Amino acid sequence: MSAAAWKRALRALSALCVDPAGLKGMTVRARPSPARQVLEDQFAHMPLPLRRIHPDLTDTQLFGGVNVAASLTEGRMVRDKGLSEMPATLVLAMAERASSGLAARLGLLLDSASDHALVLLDEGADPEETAHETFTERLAFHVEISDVRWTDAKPLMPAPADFDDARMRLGDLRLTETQHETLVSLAAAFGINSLRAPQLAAHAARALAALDGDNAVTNDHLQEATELVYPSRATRIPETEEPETAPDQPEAEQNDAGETGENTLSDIPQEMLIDAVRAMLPPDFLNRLENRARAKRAATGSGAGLKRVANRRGRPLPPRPGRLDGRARIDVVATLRTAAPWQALRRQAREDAPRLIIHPSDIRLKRYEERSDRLVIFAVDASGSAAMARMAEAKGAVECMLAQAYAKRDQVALIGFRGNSAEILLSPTRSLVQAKKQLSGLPGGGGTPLASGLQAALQMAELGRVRGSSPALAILTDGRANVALGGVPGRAQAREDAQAMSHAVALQGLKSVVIDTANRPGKEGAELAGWLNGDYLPLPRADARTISAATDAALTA
Amino acid sequence: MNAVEREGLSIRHPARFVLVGSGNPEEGELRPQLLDRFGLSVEVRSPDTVAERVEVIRRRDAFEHDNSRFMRKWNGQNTRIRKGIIAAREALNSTKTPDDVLEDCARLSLALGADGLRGELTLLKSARALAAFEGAASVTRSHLRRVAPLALSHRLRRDPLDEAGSSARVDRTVAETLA
Repeated sequence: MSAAAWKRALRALSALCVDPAGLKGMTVRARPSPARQVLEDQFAHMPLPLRRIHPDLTDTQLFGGVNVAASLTEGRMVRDKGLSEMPATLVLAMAERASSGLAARLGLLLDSASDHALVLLDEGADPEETAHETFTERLAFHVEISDVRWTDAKPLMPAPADFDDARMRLGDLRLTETQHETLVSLAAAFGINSLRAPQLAAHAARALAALDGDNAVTNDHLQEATELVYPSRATRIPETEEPETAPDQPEAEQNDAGETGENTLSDIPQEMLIDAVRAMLPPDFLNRLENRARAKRAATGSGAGLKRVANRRGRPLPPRPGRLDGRARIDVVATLRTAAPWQALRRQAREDAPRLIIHPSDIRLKRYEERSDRLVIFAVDASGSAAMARMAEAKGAVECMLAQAYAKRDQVALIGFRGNSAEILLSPTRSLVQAKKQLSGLPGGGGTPLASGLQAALQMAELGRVRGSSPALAILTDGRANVALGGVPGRAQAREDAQAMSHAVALQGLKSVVIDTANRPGKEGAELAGWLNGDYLPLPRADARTISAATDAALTA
Repeated sequence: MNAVEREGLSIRHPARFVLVGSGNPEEGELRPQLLDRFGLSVEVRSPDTVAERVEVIRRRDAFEHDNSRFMRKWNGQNTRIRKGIIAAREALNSTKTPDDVLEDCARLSLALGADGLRGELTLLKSARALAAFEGAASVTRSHLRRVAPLALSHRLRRDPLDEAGSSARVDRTVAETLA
């Protein structure tokens, strides 16, 4: 397995070296390892100069632009050349961290007529952490060399002269009509929607044929090309062995073949190709599909993680000196203020002094502090045991928090759990009036479905996080769960569910505080706080204001 | 016009540009106030028959293999379209817009519940452009019918229960309203 994967990677790289403009590049999925290092050394065979880039690449570096620092020093406009101006092999390290913005820009670069090639080093650890689809879609090859042993990783590349020969030969090689049709229908069989795939496979077949010194593209090359290009793009496995019954295989194609009077697919049975590609599908193929779907749903599309969307512009901070990178905004006033004291001295030093001399070191950049809203979710135990005395206090605390929310711009939400389920009583809000109205109608009585309450709180917290607020959890309960998740009574199961749900909350890194509202605060509350990895506040006889103050202190700390 | 204001300095400069956006709906929607500013919208799908797909690959291959021949082959058609567009641009001002077409625009937008008045305006402008391109003397319902999905489909309120997609909804409403 290891040796085969390595051979495949080398073969892909060789093809890429022959036709970088047509194949656009490759994705190398591997954590940093000796084997990857050996492969990286082979990038030197590429006919284009190598440029290493990183996910934080700025627009100026990529597309060129005014170099403010140099312009100031020289007293005339100095433009920096961008990477896009000269064809190069761009090697993007940590590709799984690249933002969709960079993906779009590099995609644009690859789509334009420029002869750039891109090699992604995808170092994602989890299956969900992958490079953005915008990249992978455009690059011909995807190789995984995570499992390649170092002893297998031998740099057995063709000689430079062979590459030159292959490049000469490339121009004369073309695929026949039949071969094009085979590639397209094979892509359809694997549910590959994009038309780039057959296009890239055709290029790959040509490059491989050129590399082997053949004068025509043979079916072996076709097979190898599909093995290299299709498996990473497949979205389904053809259901049957016979391609005739494969879905999305319209009759028209067979009819065409019949009309031309030759059995187009006879010389290379498509089943063979399907089997070949199927064999190359990664073993956890179905899981990956699921992951891909999930990643899309989360609207991230990359392993960069959920971006924190702050929904308000930040508070300005004092400006600081720094380099202009095209993203930071220059603070004109602060820059002038920094430069002002030196003007007399600087004018003395220069003969042809302009009226204002600003050095690059004078530049001050604007800074903002962005803070997202805090969302405090109150999960209130409204069960029979806690209800009578405690309900009023809990309600009062939420109202107090709401009043504070006006000053702090916090949002407050309220979840009540009683009987056999939890209920959202108040969606995240800042409206005091609405909150009071909702609160006054909160009923009490019944069992304690602690796990359901936690589950509802967790869901709301996740929702809040997506909307850009930082959720925190305040749980008012006596911790004596006696209703399990499904609404089934039973102390043991209820406790187990509550524990599992608490762990889920803790895993999300939610700040939480358990306010023990039992008449005699016991070990249950403390235990719950331990599961949640949160604070524990036993408040036997608190009034609303005390609860609110304590909560605020615990969640802010 | 574009106005840039920084630190109390203000610069105004003319800005004439057309914005073409592309996006994958699976990765999330645009916010409505931005979406509303786009005049037209189209849903693009990959062709789903093998014959069509082979044709795409064939043309692309021809383009790469012998660029000048490919260009010669398609140049005539390209020029025809360009001339048509230039002629339509001149004819645009003389293309008449009857009052009942205006009324149809308004009724369509109302029936679809599109917010704001940009929907009607774009509908009218694109119908007039289509009429000019086809050399018609005045805008008719037939023009309106054809541009309605382009001009309105992205201005609808999202209905999560409607599986059909917004173009289908526009088509349905157009059929009902302009019956």
